[in-house]
Amino acid sequence: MGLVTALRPPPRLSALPLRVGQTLDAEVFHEVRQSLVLDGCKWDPQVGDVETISRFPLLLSSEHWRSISRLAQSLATELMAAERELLARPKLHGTLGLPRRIRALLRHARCADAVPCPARVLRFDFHWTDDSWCISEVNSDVPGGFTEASTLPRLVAKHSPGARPAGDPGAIWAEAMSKSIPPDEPIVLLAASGFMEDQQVVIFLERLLAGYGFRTRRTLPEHVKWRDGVAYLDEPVGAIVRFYQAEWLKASRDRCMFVGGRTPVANPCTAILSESKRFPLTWHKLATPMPTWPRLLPETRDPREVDWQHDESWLVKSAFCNTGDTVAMRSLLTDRQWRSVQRRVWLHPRDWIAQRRFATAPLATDAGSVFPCLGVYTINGQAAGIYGRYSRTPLIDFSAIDVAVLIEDEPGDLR
Amino acid sequence: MTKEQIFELWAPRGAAWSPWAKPVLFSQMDRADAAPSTPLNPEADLAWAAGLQTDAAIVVDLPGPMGVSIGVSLAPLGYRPVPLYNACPEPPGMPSMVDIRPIMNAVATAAPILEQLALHPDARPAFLLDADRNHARILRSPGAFDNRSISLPTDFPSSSLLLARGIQRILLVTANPGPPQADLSHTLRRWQDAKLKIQVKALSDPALPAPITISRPWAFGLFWYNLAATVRLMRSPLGGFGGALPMPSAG
Repeated sequence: MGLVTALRPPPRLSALPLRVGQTLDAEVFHEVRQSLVLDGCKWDPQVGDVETISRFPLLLSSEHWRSISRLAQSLATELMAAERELLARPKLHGTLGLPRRIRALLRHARCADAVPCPARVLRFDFHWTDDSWCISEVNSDVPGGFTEASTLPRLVAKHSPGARPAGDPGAIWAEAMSKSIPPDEPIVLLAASGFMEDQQVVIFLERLLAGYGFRTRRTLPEHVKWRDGVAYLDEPVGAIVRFYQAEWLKASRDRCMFVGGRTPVANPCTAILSESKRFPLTWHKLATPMPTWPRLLPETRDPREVDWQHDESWLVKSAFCNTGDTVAMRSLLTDRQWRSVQRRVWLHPRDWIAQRRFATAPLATDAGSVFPCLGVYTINGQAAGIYGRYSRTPLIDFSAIDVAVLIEDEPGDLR
Repeated sequence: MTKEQIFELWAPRGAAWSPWAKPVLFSQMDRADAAPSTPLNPEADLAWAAGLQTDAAIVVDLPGPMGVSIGVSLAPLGYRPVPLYNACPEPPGMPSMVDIRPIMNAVATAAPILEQLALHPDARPAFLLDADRNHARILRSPGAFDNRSISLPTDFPSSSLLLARGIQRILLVTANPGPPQADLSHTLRRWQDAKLKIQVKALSDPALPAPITISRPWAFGLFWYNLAATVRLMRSPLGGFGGALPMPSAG
């Protein structure tokens, strides 16, 4: 997730490509919220005293949407090519900070061993700085936020004249699945059952698949059996939808979701290669051209190479930092928390990265300044929609507020 | 009734505590779940509640549908039941480690009762939890659905919000005497530290509500408690996933 600090002077707000849309009236917001929680499976609309669904949308100009769509597509193309190369270059897997058991599993992998994937989903977290876009990371393994990027904008757009959703990643994903999965075999959805954040995503996806007539079965990885690279429950499985982090899987048991499996998996477990926040440390050794990534991602280094402990222009985060929880900036932590981070990085430097901080432009709202983050989805390489969030602090994490990002129609646009 | 109608009765627009109602059960109600079927216990003895002061909120931590039954029985006394049930029912054909369906049925059964009561929007809250939320009724085995859950401080309003709304004391209602469940202790201890008075009433004990001091629970106040608590759940000897699950997958 993204982070941002005020290291540079605040930018002129008029330069922002985003503006705040009209606040929904209480009656309309209630209807939107009820629809989102009951039909869209958004089950965490309140965290403590904080309402996590924004009552207003953010409006993005068509020009900027086209711009970040193109950037996201370029990033996706480069990432998927790099992943293929990395799969066949196990010597780089140590640099990525992969768990030892997964490194062992991938040691003899070849490109030909790649598991088929009917709908590869990526989400790039974009931030507007003074005068340009940058990204804080890609969610490559199990990107969440489908309903917030699909249902929420659709519901809010009905009440926002002159604006439309950027896309519908849920619908695009389900359509992509429907085009390549045989309809007579069940689709298995994997999620850790104790995590409501994950359950709400898979149940939302399950409902989308049901719309295409698929039978679905929710279960755990340990219940999936593999024969000759084909997944079975008590019958052959048509495809696996994995909302279960690759690093949690057992390499021996779940090997066919990484390499060699013939049952399609979305996303394939080799996504872990680019999910690692240490992915940028491998670029200079890759043959794959990566022209877009270095332009958009802040400088990223091994924490042993830079003085992140004293230079506040750096932050550190763990190699597998899924919800922003391990992003550490000295100015946002207590002394005790900072010492804990220092200790952890010192003990396991290969599990962390240091990254240059950047300043997201704050957006003025009636409720004060907020720091927006636009999570741009690509599905099979094509831009598919935006998961919008904002935070009142420079750090976007699990407690950020979800906001519908709508695209402003240009004169002459047909809705 | 539809699930939308049922949720609207449990979390009506404009009611002060509606935002905290968890939508998980309601979202997954199909037509059968939404049909009233489980009779609620109309015989609940609420003499202990009659003497509660007007600055009290209630946390009902009772197993299964009993919490719904007590919650609805408290409504005529001016309390709005706020469901905090946070577990998924099992997918078709899978046995679940926690039985959620009776709670779903009770919630549906109670909806028309709440409709008739027409509670005041500012009615004090009675937060409802399933005391069995983290207790597996079956052994973990292939094909079982692990739907255990825990209660987190972020499931509740903060102490400052409670105080700002005139709540000065909290009554914890349990089935049997004893300390509060460990997960709930984190919330209660935070409230206690903010000078809210905590009382407890065990339904199996005829004694009236009594003050209780909440001990400092494991990992209290640590910023990573939510994360760590969930990891503990996953590593529980009663079940779990056999490996370290450091955080939700959702990125």
